[in-house]
Amino acid sequence: MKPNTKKPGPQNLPKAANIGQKQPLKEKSPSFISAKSVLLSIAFLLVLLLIRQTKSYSYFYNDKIVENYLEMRDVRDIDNYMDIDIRKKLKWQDAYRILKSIRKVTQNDTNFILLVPPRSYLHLTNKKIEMPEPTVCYYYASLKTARSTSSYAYKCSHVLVVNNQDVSMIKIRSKSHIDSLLQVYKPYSY
Amino acid sequence: MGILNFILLAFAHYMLGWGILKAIGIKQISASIQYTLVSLLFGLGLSSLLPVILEMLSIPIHKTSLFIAIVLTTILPAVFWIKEPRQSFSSILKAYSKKFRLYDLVFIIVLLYLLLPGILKCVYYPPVPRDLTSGAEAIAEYTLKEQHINNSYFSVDLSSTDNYQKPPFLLGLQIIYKMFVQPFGQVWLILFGCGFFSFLYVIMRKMVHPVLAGLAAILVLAIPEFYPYTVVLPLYDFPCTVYLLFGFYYLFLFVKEKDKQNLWLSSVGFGMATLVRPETIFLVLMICISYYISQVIASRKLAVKTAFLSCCILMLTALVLDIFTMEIFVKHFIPSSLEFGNKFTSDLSNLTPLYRRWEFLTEVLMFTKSGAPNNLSQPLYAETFNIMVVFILLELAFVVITRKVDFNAACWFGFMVLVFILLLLIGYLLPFTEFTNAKRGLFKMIPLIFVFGVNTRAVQFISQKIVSWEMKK
Repeated sequence: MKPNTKKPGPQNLPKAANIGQKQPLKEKSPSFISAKSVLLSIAFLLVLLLIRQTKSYSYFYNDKIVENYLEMRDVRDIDNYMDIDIRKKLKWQDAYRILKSIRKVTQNDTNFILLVPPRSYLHLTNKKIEMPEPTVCYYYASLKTARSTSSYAYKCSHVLVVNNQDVSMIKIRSKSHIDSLLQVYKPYSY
Repeated sequence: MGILNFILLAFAHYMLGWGILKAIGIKQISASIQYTLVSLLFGLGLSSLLPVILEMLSIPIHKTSLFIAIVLTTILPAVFWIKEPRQSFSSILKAYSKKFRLYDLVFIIVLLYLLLPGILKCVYYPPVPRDLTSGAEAIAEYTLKEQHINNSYFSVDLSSTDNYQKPPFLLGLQIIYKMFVQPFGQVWLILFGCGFFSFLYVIMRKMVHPVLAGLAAILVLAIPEFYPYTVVLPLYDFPCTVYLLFGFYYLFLFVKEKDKQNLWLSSVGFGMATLVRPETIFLVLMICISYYISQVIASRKLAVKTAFLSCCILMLTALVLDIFTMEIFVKHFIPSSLEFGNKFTSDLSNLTPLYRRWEFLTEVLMFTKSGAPNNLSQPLYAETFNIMVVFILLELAFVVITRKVDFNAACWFGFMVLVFILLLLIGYLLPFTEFTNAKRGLFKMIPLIFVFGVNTRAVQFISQKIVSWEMKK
């Protein structure tokens, strides 16, 4: 069979394929501002406004645009709003505060590793404490933590315990102490 | 935020991408907005490999070493292609302004207005996505402190995450931007967001009247689930979507014009998408198979041989980048390597995961009856998939009436179908994949839906009417 040596290109395609591919604006293109370009710009904006009126797009506009503008405006009312720590607190909230405060207390203890009980166990208190996973704890506050489901738990020096609707941190006494804690955490999940 | 450093880094990315485009043989890059954007984003993606290369060479990653690496990748392309005829700034500006109309300006203003709140949040807040803070961002933070990617992060209990075994794309960019621009890094996403919408507008503007192109681009932006990932939340799916669009667009041009440069651009686009999300290599493979079969059906011997060569080129960049990042870097330089093979399904005859995935994608995400999945008050993708159905039905009507298939529309429709099949197959072959991942996986289809839409003959008809009305005196 003779190979097709004719170079395919837009000029050789069926007519339908060329629709819109040619640049009619090249022929005698109007200037930057003309009466028709103004009309088209207005039409463009009007169609956008119409789209914005529909249920799903008005949700997008209010939730993602207006809300975000308002949020960023409100942020400026905070003292030292550009401070890095304030920005972290605003976004990472309680988890960041708790981890930072634990870190502050234990920063001289080089062997400090905290055993974080399962989420549902911590929720036994009224405070509903949320502790992020170990890698995130380390990222937020350079604080080493471990989950009870990991073999890493045996390296921990301290643990969070629930006492009378409150959470406190105690030192782990021995390996058998960890074993007993892990038994307590068994019914709970992260 | 170090705005000057941000601008200088953007320039460095542009130069690196410029070098790649020059190596491919593209001329007059600066005079084309499309190539300028492609250069910027290719360069941005490849820059993510700089900290990785330093780590592999056991060079400490600090400001000086990274600065030298960035400067080298900026200067080298310029030295290699110094013979390039220079264009004056005014001639470039003239080329840009030649086709610039009032409605283009209006589109830019609307686009900036819609992107601005997201950009402000991206600059102001620290990273939030768990995938980032438990992986790339945390490793980047300690790389800055300890000058190595293999740092004390890996001494922590890693049992709850495998995010440290993901491709080093986010990691590399976070290291660079945290070091030179601002403590939270992540502002590179602004380049991606702005670059993507501009590129989408520019290519659609070549297909239909700019007003219709602008409307389509805004409809892509106004997707509640998509928007945050374009400028606020730096994760893998959106950059992958951007590179896939590059890949598909230049593949479309290659299929149409048989121009080798477009084939290479497409290959780099798909390669970069694979760099961001390694499973994209399945998609590239599917594209190659589809392309090869189409040439076999055409049964032209020469075309079949050329098609095989083209498929090899298409796969090349994806393979090289995948082997470099996942097989070499992640497996040998990151502790506790992922055993990926074990996660493939062992029972291929069990089609239940495939059906469940189909059900989840179509009934829950795309066409949910209640209007929104997971008890949300609004659909995640607004009307995007309903619009897609309208486009498909309109084009089908044209096919039935005219008894002709339009090449452009058919091509983009094919791309859409391929991505959808990939989304189905991933859930089937990798059963561990969370269903929620499909939510972001659908991002890959979004730009394709609208580029397909503007190529349908109904939209082309409207476009031609507007153009002829505008040209009339």
